[in-house]
Amino acid sequence: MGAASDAARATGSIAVPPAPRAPASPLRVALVGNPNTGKSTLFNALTGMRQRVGNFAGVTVERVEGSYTGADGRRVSVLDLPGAYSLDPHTPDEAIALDLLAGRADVPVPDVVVIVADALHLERNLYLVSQLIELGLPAVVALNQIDAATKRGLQVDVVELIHELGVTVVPTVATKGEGIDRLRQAIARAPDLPVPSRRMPVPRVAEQALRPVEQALVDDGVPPAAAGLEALLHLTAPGTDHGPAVHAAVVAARSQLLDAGLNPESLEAELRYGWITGVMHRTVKDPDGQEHTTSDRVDRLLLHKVWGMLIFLALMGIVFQAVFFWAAPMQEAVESALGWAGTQVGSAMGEGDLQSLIVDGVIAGVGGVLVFLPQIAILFLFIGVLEDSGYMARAAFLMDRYMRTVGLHGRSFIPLVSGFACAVPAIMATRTIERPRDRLATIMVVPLMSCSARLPVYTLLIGAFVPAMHIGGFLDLHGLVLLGMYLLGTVSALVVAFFFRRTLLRGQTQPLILELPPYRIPSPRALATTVFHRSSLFVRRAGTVILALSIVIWALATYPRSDVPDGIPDEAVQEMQLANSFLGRAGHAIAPAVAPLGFDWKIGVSIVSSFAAREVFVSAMGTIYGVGGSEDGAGLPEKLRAERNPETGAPVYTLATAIGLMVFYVFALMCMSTVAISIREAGGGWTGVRWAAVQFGYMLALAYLGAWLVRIGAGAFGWA
Amino acid sequence: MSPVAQTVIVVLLVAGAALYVARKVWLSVARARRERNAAGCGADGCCK
Amino acid sequence: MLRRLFSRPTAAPAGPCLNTASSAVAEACLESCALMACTTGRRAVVVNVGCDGAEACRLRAMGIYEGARVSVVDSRNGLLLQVRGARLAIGAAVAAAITVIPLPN
Ligand SMILES: Nc1nc2c(ncn2[C@@H]2O[C@H](COP(=O)(O)OP(=O)(O)OP(=O)(O)O)[C@@H](O)[C@H]2O)c(=O)[nH]1
Ligand SMILES: [Mg+2]
Repeated sequence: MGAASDAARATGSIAVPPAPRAPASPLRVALVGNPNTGKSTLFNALTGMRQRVGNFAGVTVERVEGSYTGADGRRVSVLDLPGAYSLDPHTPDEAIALDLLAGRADVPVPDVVVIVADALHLERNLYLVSQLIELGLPAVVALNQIDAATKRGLQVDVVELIHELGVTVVPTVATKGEGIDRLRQAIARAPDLPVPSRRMPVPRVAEQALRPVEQALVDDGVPPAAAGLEALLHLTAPGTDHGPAVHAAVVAARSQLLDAGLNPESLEAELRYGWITGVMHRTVKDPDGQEHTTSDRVDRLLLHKVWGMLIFLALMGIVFQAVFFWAAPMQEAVESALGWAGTQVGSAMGEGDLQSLIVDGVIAGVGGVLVFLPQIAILFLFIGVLEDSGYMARAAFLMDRYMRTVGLHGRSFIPLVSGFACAVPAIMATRTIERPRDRLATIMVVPLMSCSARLPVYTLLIGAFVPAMHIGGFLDLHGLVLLGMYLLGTVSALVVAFFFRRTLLRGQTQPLILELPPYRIPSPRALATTVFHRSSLFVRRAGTVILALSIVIWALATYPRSDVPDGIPDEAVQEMQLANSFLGRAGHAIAPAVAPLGFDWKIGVSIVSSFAAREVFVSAMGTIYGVGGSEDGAGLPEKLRAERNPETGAPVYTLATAIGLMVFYVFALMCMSTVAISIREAGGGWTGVRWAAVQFGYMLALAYLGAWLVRIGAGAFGWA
Repeated sequence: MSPVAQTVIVVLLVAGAALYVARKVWLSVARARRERNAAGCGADGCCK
Repeated sequence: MLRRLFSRPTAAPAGPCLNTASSAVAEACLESCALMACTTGRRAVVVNVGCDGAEACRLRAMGIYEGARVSVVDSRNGLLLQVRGARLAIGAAVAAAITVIPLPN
């Protein structure tokens, strides 16, 4: 305990000095390490949580807390952190780990640092390890991915490594849960062990040159245990958070080092890697050398200028094809189950408002959205495969050239692809981008990537209005139109980014530096959990927000009840009542605004009600046509096809209307959560609000313009 | 089920749903306001 | 913009990562060249990381520092390097600013 509180006091100098804690208080542990070493996998294994895992650097971009109960009954709270290559952060996500360790975060400095190192890339990992053990905090090294290292023929002498590092080293296989119990024991014991300290030798000249800097840092409030580390960091990255005395000392030290023939910029790297080379030599046996021929051969093809691109496009084509083909049978099953439920409830309950609420509001609204779950699950499955196989980083590298021409960064590619699932995590993923302007440009265009919430809208309209036509090969017109919508979004994202980089966000794009992870065969179990987890989020949304909105929309579409003259057909009565309802009146007020796009009031009102969440468009349509229409049992697509303009008798929905509507949804930013996250990630405060407003505004303008152009274009060709 | 009971249930459900939606909107506004005050790691500046 | 998209990048664009101050070592050694000039399969020792501060730091933490051995796995677009057992992809601009001495194969 003594060592722990010493260390906490030492490094937490900036934070509140920790009061002597009762032994019952939880032990605070942080997982720190290079990106893609398996911190989140380890976190999941320790706490039983389901954090996102993926085979590329930068999966975790925020701090996540979980906990477990140790063998001695003590609570252990665990923090999963974004990966970092060194303690000198370059990106917002890397800064999160550092801020925590330096006591700048809003939670106290951890009692134990679990340094996660990847046995496959131990040499590079040891750089950060060597920095972390100099922090003077109790530490444990989890030597993860031992299985992968063994498979490649690497043998790590763990006992020798413990001896070299001066901290406990526990070999683990996080994916299989191996070594987790031993890691827990090591964590529990760590606070009672002597704190680790610097292991690498520093030449006498350098030591002498740095001593005044260390002294100045200590005088400035830096804990003595970490002063050596800080001094080295200051040589390359002169921080601004220390006083002029430190600055002067750094300048003096630099010139002293230069006189001695040392390069202050690279001193730290040379010292650390010099030591690491020795450690590697003594601890790791690598009989085969670092040859990975299979991976290289795959890369030759996948990173080829022409073939690589073609393969990438083919992969995307297959994804969208599969979204339609594979999902169709499942979708039909869900649909017929819902239809059956509707008729059962309808006949069991007898006529009345409650029956209408359940059948037209809940089943037609929520069910209408749930029907698309199979499609969404398949999309998630494909994204999961891309993420886990290691292809994502390759695609980013491949795309860097093209992204650069529009002023984006190769790293922007990963957030853009994640945007196919959901814009919220995608915008968070931009934290891996170094320069604020590169990052902001990416944030501004991410919502143009068609997210899974648009899928219900696209699928409904394509299924109802695009003829099912086989084109040849594995291509089908449905899949092709869907692919077209996704491409429209993607291409516009690039074009818009180009405009932003030329106007509001001028500046040089940062060159690419990216680690390519080894290829891995995605484990079916991990994929299943990812798909299940993401799909259940979708279902939960349908069961909460969308359910509530559906009921509200139903009420608005049903009341006030108006008197209708006798003697007119049933269907006309319902139409009239709908037109006189609150929703109908609002719709007629909106109608002129959407009339230029060729949309009627029902579409208009559905669009407006979907401003908070796009799926609500589908549920609103379901409710409106459920309340209005009378042909029970018919699905929404049939009802849409049958809809006639009351005055002219012409069909309300043509192919052109459907395409216009889809184009509208490609562009419009109708998602409350995205707006909120944009505000935060674009800088928070009024800055964030302003950027989010710009984003919302330009997307709405594009949506309106796009839908209008479709109408005009279709008219010119005589389709409308 | 008597028409009165039906009406009561409908009113309750609709009111509940409306309250839920209102609460959601309220929460997101409050959150946006909180974010505005405590800007974290911004894209336009450093991360402190 | 289309023209830019299809024209192949010739020289490394003048970025912040220009090869400004070559160290004395690099000048003394006649064999040194930019990492960008190395072809696939070449092994080399880094003698100077001439990028500006932040990028150089990042590269050093990832194993590209003065004295490090790297091998070029692929040099078709940007560079794919094998560094300290890991695979790094770096853009042409960065690769142009790193000076190396090629090793005999
Ligand atoms: N073979 C093997 N693979 C592992 C092991 N632990 C994790 N992985 C894989 O390594 C990859 C990265 O895992 P993550 O847990 O996302 O890594 P991370 O450190 O959290 O990564 P960032 O959040 O990006 O910093 C995933 O593909 C995991 O399946 C292990 O013990 N053995
Ligand atoms: Mg992670």
